[in-house]
Amino acid sequence: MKQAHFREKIARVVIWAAALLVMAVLGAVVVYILYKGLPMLSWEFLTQIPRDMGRAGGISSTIVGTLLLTLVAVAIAIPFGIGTAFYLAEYTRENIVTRIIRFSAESLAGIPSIVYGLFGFIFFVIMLKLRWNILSGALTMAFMILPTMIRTAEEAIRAVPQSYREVSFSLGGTKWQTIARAVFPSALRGIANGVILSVGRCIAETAAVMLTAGSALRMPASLLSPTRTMAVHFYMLATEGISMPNAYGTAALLVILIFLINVVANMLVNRFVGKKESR
Amino acid sequence: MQPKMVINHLEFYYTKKQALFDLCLEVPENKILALIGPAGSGITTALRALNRLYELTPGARAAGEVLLDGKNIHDGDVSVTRLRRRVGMVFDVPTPLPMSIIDNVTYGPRLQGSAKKSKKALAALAEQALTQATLWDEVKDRLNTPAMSLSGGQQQRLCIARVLALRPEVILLDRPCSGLDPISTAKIEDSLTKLKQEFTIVIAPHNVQQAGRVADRVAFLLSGRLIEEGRTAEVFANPRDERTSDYITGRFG
Amino acid sequence: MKKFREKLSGRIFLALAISSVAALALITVFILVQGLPIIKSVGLIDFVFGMTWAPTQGEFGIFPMIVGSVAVTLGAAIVGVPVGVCCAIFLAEFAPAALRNVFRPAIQLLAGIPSVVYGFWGLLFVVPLIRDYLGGPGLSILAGSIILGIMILPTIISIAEVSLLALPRQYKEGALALGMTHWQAIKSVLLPAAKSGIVAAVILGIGRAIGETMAVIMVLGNAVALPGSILDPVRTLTTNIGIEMGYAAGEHQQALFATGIVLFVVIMLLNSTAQYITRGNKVNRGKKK
Repeated sequence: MKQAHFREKIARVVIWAAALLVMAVLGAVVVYILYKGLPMLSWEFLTQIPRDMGRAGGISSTIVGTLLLTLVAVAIAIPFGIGTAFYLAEYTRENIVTRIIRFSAESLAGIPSIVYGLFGFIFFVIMLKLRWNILSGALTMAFMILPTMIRTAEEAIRAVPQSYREVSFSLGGTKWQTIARAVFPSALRGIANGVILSVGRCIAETAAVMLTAGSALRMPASLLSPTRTMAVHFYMLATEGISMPNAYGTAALLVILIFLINVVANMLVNRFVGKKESR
Repeated sequence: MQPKMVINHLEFYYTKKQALFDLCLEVPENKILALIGPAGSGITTALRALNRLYELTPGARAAGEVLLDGKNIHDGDVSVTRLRRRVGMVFDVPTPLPMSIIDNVTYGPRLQGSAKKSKKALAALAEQALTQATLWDEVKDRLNTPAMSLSGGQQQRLCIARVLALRPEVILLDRPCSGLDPISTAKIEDSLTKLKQEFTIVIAPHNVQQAGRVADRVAFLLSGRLIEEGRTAEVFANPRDERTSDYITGRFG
Repeated sequence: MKKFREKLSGRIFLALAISSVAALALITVFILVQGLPIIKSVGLIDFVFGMTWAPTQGEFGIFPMIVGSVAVTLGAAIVGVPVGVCCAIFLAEFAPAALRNVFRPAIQLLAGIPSVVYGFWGLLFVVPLIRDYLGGPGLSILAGSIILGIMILPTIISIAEVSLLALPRQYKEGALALGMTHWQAIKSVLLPAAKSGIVAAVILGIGRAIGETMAVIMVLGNAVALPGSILDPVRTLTTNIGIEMGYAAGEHQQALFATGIVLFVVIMLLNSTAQYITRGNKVNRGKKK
């Protein structure tokens, strides 16, 4: 009995230590970046385009490029991803075809982003002659996030209790009405999580974007302009030793951006779902 | 009087397993018919055959006739959504949808695209339905709160009100009180006896006593076969079949 | 009108699903078509086990990079898995609610931080530490393992925690009611019950480690040679693509796609294993009911 309590204590210490270690290491990354980068964030840094390869000026064009590319990629992927998920979860019975779709989605979700970059580079940039621009990058990213979006949305739809569907059908609902009014609102939280995840991946992606969207520092004029996203900009500044302070500033802004997206998305979902759902 | 619904030689299968065998049964209008029998006798299946809800179950299949006002509900020209509005259903566990009380009650009527109802009309409909389900007084001040915040008994009466708001002709209740306390059960049974003046009711009670309390007629099913059917008092006093009397007196099931 | 809408919505969903499948098939087929010829001409064995990578001279052997990927991934697992699983146990079982509410969003945030940021941090902190205290160039398997070990933490923690939280409460209550201590209950009841979820978490974490490119480019040194120790630099399959993609052409480009195929196959095997393990468990649970 005594031994059991001794072990209990040891286990507690080890587990607490592991958790604190995780916090400490991860905290170190974030705190260091913010410590070095926050002082760089000024109005000029946010609103001026980079000059002299990024040694001087701000990073406004990379912010715009990042947001545009992410927006387009997610806008392309959402209808296909969520539509496919609804098809898989609601419109088909389990058969060999659904299993193949699901298996390929799950496999493709784990494929390294560099492979998507390779694909996007040869397919969109070279073969379709789209050249390096926001559109090529966004299409590549849309392909990359599609499998994740299908998977997360399908899981969310399947997690909706079957009783909701039965009730809706038993009250004379058609399939579409049942999906739109009973299933979708309940699955929204999970679907939104998948979308947030995808947005985060687009913002954070470096290799695939560099290969497809280019690395131009000009302010993009249209979707056909080449651009450099913040992550790529950070990579270039840091690894080519162009400007450490500006690299830190870009990294800090990336961290803040991802944090804000998480917070805002959670708030939006809570607001929309919270009204209809008690829990 | 002509029966509201007639089940004619209904055979029912789940993939390969047969669940109902040559079931013939009449559902009298403005009466309460109770389907009784031990678990696995096909009672839920029989109820779900009456509004074609079984079609949601993969592999489920029915052969034979189910007539509603003399019209086979499996006919090609029958709209299944309209059928389900005419034959409403209450499930064994309270199943409020994750929305407000008022939205739950008006869920069915709001689906009817052709007759887009005004807010006022919907509110009136909801009040009537909630009143009939004896829930109005308890919820009239918080119609916009989530339905999940109600107690189990209130949730089940809300589900009854939700069906009533469709103004159906037949109401199917599948063990509606199985998880409820005696007081909630009494409230629901009370409202049922009032509702039968306006509606035809088929109930699968969660025990024999409930059938005795509410039903005008009972049908005893065993392993997917109808054993006997008749006026509740007669079946309970003089069951013709030994198995029926064994079941009623609690020797099995 | 209603019927039309019904039909239309069904058709639209079907069309979207078909397009998605076409897109998924396109990537797969495209990579295969681009990469298979070179594997065919070099020969699968020579491609996978070849020791020399000199694409400009027509030598395409990726074995050193396979070793590099395996070494770094294993290292990442050794660094990340024990800590991650312990952290998941902490969150599911020990953490006070207040701490949990800090941890969860923090881990969510950390999963979203670009890999280049982790790589850069490793370059600034981990690499010099290794160089100064352990010798070698610092850019090494060890540095890559540590950085990747950190990067896979969010994946492992969140999935393992979910599978622990998904256990029926009765498991724990039953164990405690038998007089077990909290740790005994975790060790002998909860962990075995959540085993499949935890294994899946580990496998998915490993998948992320194999696929990571930018962070490891920065800390691995990228030498195409068989490493002699964990302090030696290596190049992985992914970094090879990342480094050479920009200027590759012809057969060289095909060889990079072929590297992609190898990655593809490895990830697919890993994912199938993870799926098989989690599915098997679901079936078992179903039976227990």
